[in-house]
Amino acid sequence: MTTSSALGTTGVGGARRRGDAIFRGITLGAGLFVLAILAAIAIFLLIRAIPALSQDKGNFFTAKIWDPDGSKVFGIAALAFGTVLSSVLALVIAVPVALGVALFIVEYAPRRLANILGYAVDMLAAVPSVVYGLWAVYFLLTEMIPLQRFLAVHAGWFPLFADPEGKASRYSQSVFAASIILAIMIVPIVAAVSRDVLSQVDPALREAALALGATRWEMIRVAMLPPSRPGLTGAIMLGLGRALGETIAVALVIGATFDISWHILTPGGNTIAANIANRFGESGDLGRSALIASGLVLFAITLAVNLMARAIIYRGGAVERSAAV
Amino acid sequence: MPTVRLPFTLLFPFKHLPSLRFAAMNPTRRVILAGLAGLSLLAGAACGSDNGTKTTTANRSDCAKGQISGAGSTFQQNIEQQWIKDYRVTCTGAQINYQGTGSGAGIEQFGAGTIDFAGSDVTMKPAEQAKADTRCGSKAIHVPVTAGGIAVMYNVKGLSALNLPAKTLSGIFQGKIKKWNDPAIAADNPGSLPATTIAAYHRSDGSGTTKVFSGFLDANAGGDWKLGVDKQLNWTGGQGAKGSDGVTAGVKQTDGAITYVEVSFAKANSLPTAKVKGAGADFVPLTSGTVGKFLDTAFTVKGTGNDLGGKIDFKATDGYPISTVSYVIVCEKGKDAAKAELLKAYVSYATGAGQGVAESLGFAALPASIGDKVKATARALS
Repeated sequence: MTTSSALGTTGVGGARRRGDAIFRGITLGAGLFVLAILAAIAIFLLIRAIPALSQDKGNFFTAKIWDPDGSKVFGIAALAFGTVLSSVLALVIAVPVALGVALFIVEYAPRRLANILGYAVDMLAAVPSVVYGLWAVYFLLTEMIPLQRFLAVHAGWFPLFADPEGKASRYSQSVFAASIILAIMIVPIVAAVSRDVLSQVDPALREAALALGATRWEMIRVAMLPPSRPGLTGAIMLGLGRALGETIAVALVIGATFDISWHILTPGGNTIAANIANRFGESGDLGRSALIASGLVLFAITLAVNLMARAIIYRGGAVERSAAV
Repeated sequence: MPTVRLPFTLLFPFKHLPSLRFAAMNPTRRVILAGLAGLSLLAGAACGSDNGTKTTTANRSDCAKGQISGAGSTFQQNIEQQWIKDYRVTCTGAQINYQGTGSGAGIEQFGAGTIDFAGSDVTMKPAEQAKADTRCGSKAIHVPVTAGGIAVMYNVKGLSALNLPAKTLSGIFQGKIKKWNDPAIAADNPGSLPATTIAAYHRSDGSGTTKVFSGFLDANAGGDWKLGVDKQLNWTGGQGAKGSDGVTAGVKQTDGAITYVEVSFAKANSLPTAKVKGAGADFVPLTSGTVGKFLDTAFTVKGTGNDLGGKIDFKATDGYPISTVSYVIVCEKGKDAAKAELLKAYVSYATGAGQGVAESLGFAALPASIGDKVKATARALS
């Protein structure tokens, strides 16, 4: 801000200064526009959600049923649980892969290969999510059956992979399927941002580590990862944000049940966004309002995740600055 | 302060955001990518259509010019598309659109005045009717345009014929009957049955199909059916999948699977369908004829005057009992004269000559008991 006004006063005349003012106005407008849209969405969600919330005959936060048009009992519990579970699982799968891709591109790959790989990762992000969903329904879900069977048989003692009803070894629309497809969808964004963060580590740090006799891996561990931590956290949070809100691909591969179950291999599961996509078309007035109320909850969850990410990034940044001084 | 750059690249990661990079790609690459995506969608859409569909033509006297748009029921989407295509062969001055957004959405849009007619598998609720009447400035009426049966489609190795009464179906879809060799199934199916586990697929999205199927079970399973009648249920067992394509894909992939779906999906995928018994004495296969026979006695008009909205009595004993009719909702007297004329012409064609395409698309022609009434109503629109 100070730099721009300094430039303005030392500029070559009124025209230049007016241009500056106009440009400043345009950018200010753009900034305010985003805020206005955000506010408009929040207000819309709130207003449209109120009829449903006030007529809900169940407890909106704990009920595991979704029947707004019939008995008027509906609650967000199962949906919110499924949303968070599938997104967190997606992160667990995607983050190691994405970090691996990023490190490989930055540290190990020859330049040509790194470029090609970088483009390939971005291509993955350009595929529309409905295509991911269709691919999963007609291809991936079939190919995943052996993996599901393997997990159920050999890791069934672990609650997530338990298969009490013996349904894990067949084609199934489940939380597991949703997590895998979400993981594939968030790898590109996490990898792209991580790559950028890692490539900006001060070369002096890396060279110092190598000069001290560190191996590649030790250098990465002591010189690259610690200063990148806030950036990497931000990358992961961006991925989480995308996973939480993904709609159509999840709607295609989720079983759409309303229960809270940890058995991710069993058919079932649901997420807020998928439930909206699945039910909006055939909902009555109250049903639509209820779906919008669920959208409000998703909005709040996503906002919380984003704020958390910002907080982590800023705190990390502050720590680093003080260390650098 | 080199480290300060870190947070900023994250806050404004323009060049890293792949979607933006996609937008910034050179045009040819973008076209190729978009083309690939489009192709894969086309490939998906291509299966299941075009196996010798009939066409019909409208009389020249049925022609009107202008533009109308409709939306709603996905159930009648295929036949609407065919009608529009055929109608425009003769009547080139007409522009008609139909989008399968779902019956609920169609009724909502009709009430809001954004479309000229709605497709719906159900009649409007009183509040919706009031809204639609206000929009029309006259009565909003239901006109039955097509009928169809919901097939019970299955995929069980070594099982090419299957008889299922309502009670057994209710047990299967509530997860109470778990194996194909369950005594309840064996009672109506002599011969050896496999011990395969049953995977019952239901629609995870809201659907008129679910409403008809649950309506049939609720009426005929003698109290065994606990899930009520609606477009979307709180299922207690089985497995959900999105859309008719979704449940079909699931059944195709799974030995031991069963689902309820529009009959065209069973035909397109060469999967067998069960004979079903409701209140009648026999197990009845789904054909255009048995659907018509059932609706002849099961469907009764409840509306007054030109409103042909009605009810289906699933306890009727003749014909294939999981059958329904689908309506268009229109204004009895349109506010816009030009649009009203085209709408009248189009609905007259659809309920008249247009019925000829029904069977080849997996629908059934309107039952004889209401056919003439429907035609008269269409002609009375203004």
